Amino acid sequence: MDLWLSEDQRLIQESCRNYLDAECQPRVVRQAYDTDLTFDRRLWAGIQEVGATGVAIPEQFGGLGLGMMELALLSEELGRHATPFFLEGHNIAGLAIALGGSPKQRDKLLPGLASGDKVATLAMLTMDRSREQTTRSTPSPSADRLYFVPLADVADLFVVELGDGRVGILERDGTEVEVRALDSIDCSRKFFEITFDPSAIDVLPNISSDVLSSAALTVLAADAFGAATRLVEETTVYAKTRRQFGFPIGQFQSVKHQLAELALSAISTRGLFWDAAMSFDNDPRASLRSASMAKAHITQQSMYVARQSVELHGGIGFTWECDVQLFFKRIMFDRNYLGTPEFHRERCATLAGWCK
Amino acid sequence: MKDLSQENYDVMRSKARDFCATSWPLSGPEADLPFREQVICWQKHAINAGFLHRSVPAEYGGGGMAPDIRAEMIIKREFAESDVPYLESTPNGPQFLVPALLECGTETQNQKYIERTLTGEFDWCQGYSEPNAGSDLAALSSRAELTNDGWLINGQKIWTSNAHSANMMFGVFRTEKDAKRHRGVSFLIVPMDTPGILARPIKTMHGSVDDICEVFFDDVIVPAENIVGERGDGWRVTRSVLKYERLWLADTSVVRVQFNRLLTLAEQTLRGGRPAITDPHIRQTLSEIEAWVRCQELLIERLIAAESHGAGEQLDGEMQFVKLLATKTQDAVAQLAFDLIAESGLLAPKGAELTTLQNLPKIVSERRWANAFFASLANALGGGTSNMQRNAIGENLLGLPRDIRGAG
Ligand SMILES: Cc1cc2nc3c(=O)[nH]c(=O)nc-3n(C[C@H](O)[C@H](O)[C@H](O)COP(=O)(O)OP(=O)(O)OC[C@H]3O[C@@H](n4cnc5c(N)ncnc54)[C@H](O)[C@@H]3O)c2cc1C
Repeated sequence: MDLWLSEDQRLIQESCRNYLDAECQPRVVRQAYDTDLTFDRRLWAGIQEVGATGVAIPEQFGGLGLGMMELALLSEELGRHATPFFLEGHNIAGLAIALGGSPKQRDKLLPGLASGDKVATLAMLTMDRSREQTTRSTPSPSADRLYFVPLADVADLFVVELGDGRVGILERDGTEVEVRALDSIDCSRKFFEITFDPSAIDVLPNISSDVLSSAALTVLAADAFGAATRLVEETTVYAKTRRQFGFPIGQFQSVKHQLAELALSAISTRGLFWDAAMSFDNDPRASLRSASMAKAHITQQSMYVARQSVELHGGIGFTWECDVQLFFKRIMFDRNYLGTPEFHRERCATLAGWCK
Repeated sequence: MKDLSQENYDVMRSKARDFCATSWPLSGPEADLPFREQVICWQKHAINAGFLHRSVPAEYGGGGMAPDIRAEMIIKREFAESDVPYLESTPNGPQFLVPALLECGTETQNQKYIERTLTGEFDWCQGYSEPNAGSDLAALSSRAELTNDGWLINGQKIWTSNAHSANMMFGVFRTEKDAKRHRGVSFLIVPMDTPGILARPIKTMHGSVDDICEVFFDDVIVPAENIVGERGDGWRVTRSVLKYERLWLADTSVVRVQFNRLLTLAEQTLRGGRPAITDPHIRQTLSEIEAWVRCQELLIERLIAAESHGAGEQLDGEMQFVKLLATKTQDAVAQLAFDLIAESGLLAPKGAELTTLQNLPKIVSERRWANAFFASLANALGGGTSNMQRNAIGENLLGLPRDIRGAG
């Protein structure tokens, strides 16, 4: 495995960045914060046009036929721009069906997902508070309700993590799905509660929930990496321009050293999500530990970067007006959704066989 | 650089492993030599077998092969896991000076110094720091004056690692009276047995008198040809040496081995009758430390990949993190080990010499681990303090305004 991006991969990342630099500036993200808007058709249409809705779906179904590494690079850019509406989830759902669906499921569902005419999302298990903190499970086998489902209001399709290690799908047009909005902190990916008839779930025969998690954790890690590196850049720019005592604050050593630590914490972790993504492309069933490690470490370090970034901006950093909050909340989501760093460290230990 | 296929690397790994198993301890008459000479013999065998100093040209006693960092990493990892004495001599000569000589030395100097350095015959110490020139190295004041007999050196160095045991020193001295700060220094080679040199050990906080020295120069004379680079060009040579020192610090085989030993310690230490590693807090901390180790390993993996595509310079920015990363990791390892050994960590460390990167206890020897609690701090100081690393990252990588700089 060569930890190196091919020319194509570099171009893909660059074009994602250029596209989002132009189309997804903070004022676009802010519409999700300052209005009830949960889905931006205009932004989605643009994303459809560049093919980003079908990154990991085979070409025969109209996708780009790429892998996890490309998805991770796209996710880094989505985090970097705090791009609304959980395109990561849509892409992972597509990947799950491409990898794990029966021929019939693939034929029926993938073309719509690849083009983005149909929107998919993830309905995953949440931390179980009734038991040890470090387990996650379904509320109960007869579960008909899941919390913390992003994009549920517009989703046509849910990829559902079942409690028994399997993965299923739930189609909106085949069954009644009741959706209730949850008052969410990260408005770029608002959460919902969904209620549904569990018998309407159609199991994906060839994918386990470990593989699904692996993929989802990797993109969350990449997303946090993107958001944290953006914060380091923004905060550095601020430290060069904001003056106090007659000097740019970035000339004060305590500020400079804080920023150097932030750069280290954010940027030195890049290899972790690359490694997770490349392991996935190599063998999806053998990548869970590197995905867990990337998710735990990158989101934890990114949260530290985010908190320090607020501090380094002074009073303005604490305001709604300042864009730091957009990335701060992005990272909050990446950190606690699908398992906290503690949960994933425990899993790394278990998977290494340290706990026998 | 030509890369081998994965298969060939696997072959190389098993060959290195076999070599470790069969080459040490020595056999025959060599086995009766004093330990230091045995190390020299073994290093010669390792060079001849193509495992050590592979990319140093053959005419200077190296392997004469094209550089291949991946192969070197694989070999080092095997060496570090076994008992072979590949880290017995200090890295100063073979790892830092030799590549710098290849960049800045003359043919005569390369002939004279490189081979004997690789085999360990020349054992080097580094003479940079002075009482009034630490982080601000350009303030150094030990002088060397060119006379008819050669360079006449007077002054003092301090914190010089291994000066009492080394037979050679390289270092920087002020040679140009009229040039200021770094523009007035030259890089000189000084045999430690030259009359007028006094190396006095400094007792360290953990009680060792075997690690660092202060070195006094009293009318010391060395030949005029002992200058590397031009007069007044010593700063460039020094930067080259320090560059290789930082690369060496990035040696991930060592960090991984260190982590593995910490794992062993956590498995073998009992808590309430059960292995400490079964305690969720301990194993989660281990997972966290391993993530730091991985960051460093993967950075180097990426460097290797970039080099093999002829684009190593793309990683120049991120490589600036290496020393701080290594310091962080070692710090975390030492702190968790201190937790694990509990009261035993309060007994004076055994084997007083610094348990640095290269020789952490292989077995669970609690008193050696106590040493790591001190040694991990040396990494935050030697080769440029952590604060100086942060200055460099802030200014070179992030482009923040420069700090106040030495006057004059
Ligand atoms: C175990 C050990 C081995 C060593 N081996 C060698 C050797 O072989 N050869 C050799 O030449 N030297 C060696 N050194 C010396 C080492 O390089 C110096 O100790 C180091 O560069 C710091 O210099 P100093 O001790 O004078 O501290 P100072 O420079 O006085 O620093 C004291 C404190 O001030 C901080 N500081 C200083 N300037 C700044 C600044 N501009 N911005 C922010 N903070 C600053 C430093 O970070 C440090 O925390 C060794 C040191 C140790 C501990």
